[in-house]
Amino acid sequence: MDSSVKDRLLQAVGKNSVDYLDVRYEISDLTRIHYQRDELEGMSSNRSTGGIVRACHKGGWGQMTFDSLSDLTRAVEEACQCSRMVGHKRTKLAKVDEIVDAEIAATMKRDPRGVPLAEKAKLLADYNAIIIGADHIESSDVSYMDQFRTVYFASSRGAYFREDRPTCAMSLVATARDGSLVQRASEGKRSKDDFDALKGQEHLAARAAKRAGDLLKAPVCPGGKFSVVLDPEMAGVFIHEAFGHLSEADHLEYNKKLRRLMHVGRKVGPEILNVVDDGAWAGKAGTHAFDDEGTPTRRNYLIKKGKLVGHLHTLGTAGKMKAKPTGNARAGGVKNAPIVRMTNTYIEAGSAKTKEMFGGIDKGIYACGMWGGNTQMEMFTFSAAHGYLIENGEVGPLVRDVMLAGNVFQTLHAIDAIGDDLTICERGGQCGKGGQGVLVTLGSPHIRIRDVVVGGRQQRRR
Amino acid sequence: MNDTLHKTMKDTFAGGIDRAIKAGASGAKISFSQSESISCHFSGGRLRSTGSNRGLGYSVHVIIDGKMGSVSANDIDDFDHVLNRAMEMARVGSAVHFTTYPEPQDHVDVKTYCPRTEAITRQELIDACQVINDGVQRHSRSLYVEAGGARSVSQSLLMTSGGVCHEVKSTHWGLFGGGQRTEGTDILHFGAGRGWKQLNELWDPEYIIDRALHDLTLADCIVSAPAGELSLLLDPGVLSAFLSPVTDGVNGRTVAMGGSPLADEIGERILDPVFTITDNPHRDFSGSAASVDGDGIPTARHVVADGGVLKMFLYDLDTASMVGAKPTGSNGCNLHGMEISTGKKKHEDLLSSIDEGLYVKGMLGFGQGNIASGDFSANVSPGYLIHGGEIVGRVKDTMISGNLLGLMKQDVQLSSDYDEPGRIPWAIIEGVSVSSSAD
Repeated sequence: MDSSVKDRLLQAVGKNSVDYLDVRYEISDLTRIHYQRDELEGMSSNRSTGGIVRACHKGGWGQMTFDSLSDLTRAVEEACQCSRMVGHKRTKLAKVDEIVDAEIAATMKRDPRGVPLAEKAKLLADYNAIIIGADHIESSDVSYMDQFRTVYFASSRGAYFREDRPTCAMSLVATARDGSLVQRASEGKRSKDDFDALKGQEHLAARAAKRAGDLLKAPVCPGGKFSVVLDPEMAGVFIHEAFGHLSEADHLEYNKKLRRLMHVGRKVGPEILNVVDDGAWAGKAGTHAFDDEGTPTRRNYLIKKGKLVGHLHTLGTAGKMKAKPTGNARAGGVKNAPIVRMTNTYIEAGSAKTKEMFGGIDKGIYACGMWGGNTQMEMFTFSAAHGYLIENGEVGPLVRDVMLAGNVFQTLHAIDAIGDDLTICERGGQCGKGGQGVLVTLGSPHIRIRDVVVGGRQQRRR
Repeated sequence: MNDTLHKTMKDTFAGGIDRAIKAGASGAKISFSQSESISCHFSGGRLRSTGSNRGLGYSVHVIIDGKMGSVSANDIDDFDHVLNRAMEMARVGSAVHFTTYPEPQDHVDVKTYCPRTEAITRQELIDACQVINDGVQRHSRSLYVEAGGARSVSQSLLMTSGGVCHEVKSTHWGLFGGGQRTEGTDILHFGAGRGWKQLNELWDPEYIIDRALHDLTLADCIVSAPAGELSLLLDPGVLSAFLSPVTDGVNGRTVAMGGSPLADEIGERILDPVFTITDNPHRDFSGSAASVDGDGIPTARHVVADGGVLKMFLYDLDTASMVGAKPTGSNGCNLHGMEISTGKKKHEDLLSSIDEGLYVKGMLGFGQGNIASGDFSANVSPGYLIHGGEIVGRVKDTMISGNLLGLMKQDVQLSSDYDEPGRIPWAIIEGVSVSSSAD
């Protein structure tokens, strides 16, 4: 089967009249299970096959999706035709150091595909029972997924790879209710190679249930401008959302003003700040051997000693910006074209002790865990799962609905302490961009930031 | 899909349903869809790419002994294996609360297909986007401009063991234009878009240019928002988001599972009396147009809230069976397409009536929070300061927060106009908490 797929892909990209051509073909098997309250709400599986052909000619791109390899020849012809319709200049794609020819099979401890459905459902039922048995809990959302993707890639440069990309994950959400007040808390766990890694996580279910109940009694976070301490998960969301997306070169390649703003060498933060995106970090959710253009993944510094030192690239953005490809061309699904995406992004450890970081803050917010984050380039918004007031240098009472916003350039400069406790968040979850979701991890030590806008209730104006 | 393939596929699916029933299933359902689309994308002032997307998919649902197995795939040759897998899965699968699919019922034929939309060529799409690109770029050479468009046609088929065999052909087009303006470290996003199933007067590149540039002009000057409680003028899209505790709360499944704050509110006033909210799947060529739901139940126009009073919850077949209600033809117990009543003044007049407040055109981060009970916090983006009935500039790093259910319950004014083709007005709400970098 594999040699047949390899031959067909290489044959398809071999003869063409365009500057560049590649094809990615994928077979994906997915299983989902979902409990809500006391019901097994859903159990489903999906097998999909298909791919995308991309052609580049005189700088213009044409692309065509297909379901079956029997449609590949036609897809190649139409993609080439589209690219010739668009291109009128010069194709600028970065060169790579080595043309890949590799097959990477998954090494699994316990492959979820071999685990009976009944065993998967039982594991979830047990976690669900912990949540719905807790005080104040009204409902639960406990879900599981496993996916095994086999990705094939070939390009007109002679590159070929086949890589297995397995993952399994679960999400544990507890909903507590008191009258019309409803509060939720979530935990999760993910593994790339072992179903059994999801076992023995009863403490996560209990933690989610307890926190949802506690949040019922917590007041809404006060609004205003505060010094904040972010825990590693929240700081990871912050750096991913606020700076990581801005470093993706597809935002920069045709936007001259933004390129000037994000030029290499610009001072963007304090000396103590180092930020890395590492797609080659073994075992992490955002890790692959190759990106979806056949470029080997690697460790890339984005910020070093407070200075911007690099961007994240595809072949196209690197070619346009005269940079080296960084292995960050990633496609979210079978029929998506790869775009610039982060992988495993984090702030490197500093030297501050966590406890000392609260000292000197008379009134502030300790923001913990993540609900999510959004960015519009320099403007960001991210929300914590929960938070605590900081009063006179001490961590105080629990608060809910903690949301932070600001301008990334001002906020990075306002970081004045970075902890020594780097932690990578391994729970399930995806990063979305351009309608595509990809697996990422994020992390950081605790960090402290001055003068952050926090959403919350204000006093009535008179 | 050609006629022979079409007949072969229907025969295959009908045979599969028969086989499942003979093997002990009490019910079976097969959904199939096939689509083809073309698209183009301009960025940085030039056409960068064009392409096509073709694909098909189908799903098989089988009920055995009160449990459901659901398997989906996209290889028709694999159908027998998919059916067998669905039957296997049904033996350990999720609980369902009905045993058989209902027989076909009379339904309204809602229009979803327009041959003129299907006939839109790739070149016509590119030409329209070129107009948008050039129109926006003309405003200033220093803008980073993006434009794009797409046209799609799809066919779908629903077959159930109850005898439903429902086929739909559907078309859709969409155009958008906008971009970014970068000044120092200030990066402004602006843009507008439109889409419809029928090719009609809504296909108007000039409208998209005007709307995109209008936003840009409003944003010329940056001002600080005062902190405290202010009046807000909400764009229709923002009003729709603000009503999410209601639109999510009328989901019958959420009610049954205890997650809805509206569970005990039928017959109670949950919104300001100006609100009448209707779920309308029967508007021809709208994005939500549908004759039957995913189980073959006829859709219907439902008044969900009348004069601010909650009238009903929405149910799909399974949830209705679970709670002993009548199914409302609602996929996943959700609204198909929301329509809201109008007020007396045009939205421009609503704006003029605000002495000091914000015009909220969009939000960043809305929905990230724990909004199940209505509590929210979001960054206004884009948002504008209103002073003396006029927009005086754009605000940044400005958070709005409050409880949506409380805010929408009193002192709300709705505009008399819609932003077509939407059926949601602009709205003024009072007393929203505002925090900003000026605090």
